[in-house]
Amino acid sequence: MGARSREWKSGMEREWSPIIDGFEGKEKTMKKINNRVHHGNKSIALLCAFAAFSLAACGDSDGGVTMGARTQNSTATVNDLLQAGLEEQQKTSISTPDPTSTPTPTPAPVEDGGWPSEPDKPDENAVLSTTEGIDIDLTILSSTMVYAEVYDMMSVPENYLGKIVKMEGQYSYMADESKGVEYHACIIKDATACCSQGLEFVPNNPEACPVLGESVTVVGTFDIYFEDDYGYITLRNAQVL
Amino acid sequence: MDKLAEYLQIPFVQHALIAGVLIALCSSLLGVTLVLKRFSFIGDGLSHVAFGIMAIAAVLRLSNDMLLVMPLTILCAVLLLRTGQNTKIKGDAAIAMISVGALAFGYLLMNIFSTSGNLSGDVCSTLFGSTSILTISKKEVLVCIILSIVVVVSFILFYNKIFAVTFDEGFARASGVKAGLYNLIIAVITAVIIVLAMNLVGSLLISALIIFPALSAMRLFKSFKSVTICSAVLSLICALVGILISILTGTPVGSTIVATDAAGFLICWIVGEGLGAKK
Repeated sequence: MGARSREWKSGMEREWSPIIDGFEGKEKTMKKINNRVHHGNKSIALLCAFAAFSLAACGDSDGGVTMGARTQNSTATVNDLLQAGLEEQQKTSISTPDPTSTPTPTPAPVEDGGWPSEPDKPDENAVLSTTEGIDIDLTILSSTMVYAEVYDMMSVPENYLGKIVKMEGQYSYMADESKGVEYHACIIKDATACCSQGLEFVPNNPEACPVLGESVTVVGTFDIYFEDDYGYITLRNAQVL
Repeated sequence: MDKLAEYLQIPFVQHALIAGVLIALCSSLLGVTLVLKRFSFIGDGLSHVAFGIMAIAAVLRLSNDMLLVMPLTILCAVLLLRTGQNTKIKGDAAIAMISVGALAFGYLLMNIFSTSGNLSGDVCSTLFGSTSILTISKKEVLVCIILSIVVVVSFILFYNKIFAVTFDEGFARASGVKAGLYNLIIAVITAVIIVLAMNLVGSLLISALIIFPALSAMRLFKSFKSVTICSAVLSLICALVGILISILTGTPVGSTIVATDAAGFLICWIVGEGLGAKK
C-alpha cells in the first residue's frame, strides 16, 4: 500500500518499522507501486515506464518548478498552489541550468533496487538553491498538516516522485557498519506529539548536519529506493540549510 | 483565508471534510435517540469494544480490519441494547464492564503481540484520533459515504418507529410496533456510526459527537423533530469548524472537534437560558 519508513532513533541502533503494512517482497513492492500508475503486469515494463515517469517528474530545466504526479492528476498540494503565483516570477528570475554542466555527484548510501540513476536527471542544485523551486514546503504547514502530508507521502509515494520537498524537524542519524552505509533523517511529529514519522534524506552537504536531536531544515528531491526487499522513501540531492 | 482556500484544495483535506461532516451528521441523528433512551455512554463503550477488536485485527495482521471490527461491534451493540432492560447486569453496568474490559484487553494484546514499531503512537492515534481523519484513503471515504447514506436513509425511513420506541417502548409494543426490531436497528446503526467515528475523533472522544449536539439542540428546541434537525445542523457546523481550526492551527483534530462541540453547547445553553427568561 505504501512505502516503509525506518524507525529513527537518536542513536546508532537501526530498526525497521513499517508505516503501512503490505510489503512482503521487492517484486511485490515494485509491482504494487507501479500498478497504481500504469496498471500493468510486467514489472520490467512497469519499471521502465515508472522510470520515465520519475525522470519526467524531476523538474523542468527552465522553470525550476517540478512536474509532480499531483499536478498530473489535476490535484494540488498547498505548495502547488503557492507556487502557481510564483511560477511566472521564476521563469524570469531563475536562469536555465547549463545543459552541458556536469551533474553534482550524489552520495548514494544504498544501491537502488531499480530506480533510475541520478546522473540522468537535470542539475537540481539550481533549483534547490532557491526557495521558489520547492513543490512541497512542509515548513509552512501546521503540525497537523505536516503529519498528514508526510503520511500521504508514505501511503502514495508514487504521487510525489521527483517533487522538491522542504522539511523541518528533529535531526536523526544512523549508521549500518556492516554495509558501511549512513542514514540521515528528519523526524516529524504530529500535533499530539505521540506519533512521529522519519523522512530519510541523502545530504549533499553532510558537514552541515546538526548534532543529533537538533532541528534541521532540508530541501531535496523525493524518491523511492529498495533495500532488503522493502521500499523506502528518501529525499535525494538534499541540501541541509 | 487564502491559506484556508489553499488547504481546501488538498485531496486529503477534502477527504477529511467529507468524512467528518458525514460522520457528524450520522452521529447527531442517532444522538438524540440515545440520549433520550439514557444510553449516552453507549458510544464510549462500543468504541472501546471496537478498539479491542482492532487490536485483535492488528495481531491477526488483517489488511482490512473493518471486516472484523464492524460485525463484532454490531454484535456487542445488539447485546448491550437488548440486555439493557431486563437482565441481572443492567445497562450502565454492562456498558462499563464491556468498555473497560475491551479497552484493557485491546491494549494488552497490542503490547504482547506488537506488530508496529510505534505502539504508543498507534494507541494514541486510535484513542484520540489525532490525525486519523486526515489520513484516510479514498476507499475509506467511499465506505464512509455509503454507510452514511445507509444510516440517514434508515433513520428517515424508520423515523416514526424510532420516535415511538425512544419515548415509550412499552406503549409502542402495546400499539403493535415491533420494538425489538427497531431497537435492533438502532443498535446496528449505532455500531456503524461508532466504527466510522473512530476515524474522526478517536475512541475516547466519540461520546462527545453523540451527546453534545443532541444536548445543545435540547437547550433550544423541545420537539423531537426540531431537536433532531437542530442537532444535525449543529453537529455539521461544529465538525466543520473543528476540522478547519485543527488544520489551520495545528491542533489535534479529535479534541478540537470536541472542544468546538462543547463551545457550541455553551452558546446554546446561554441562548436557551436567554430565550427561557424572555418567556
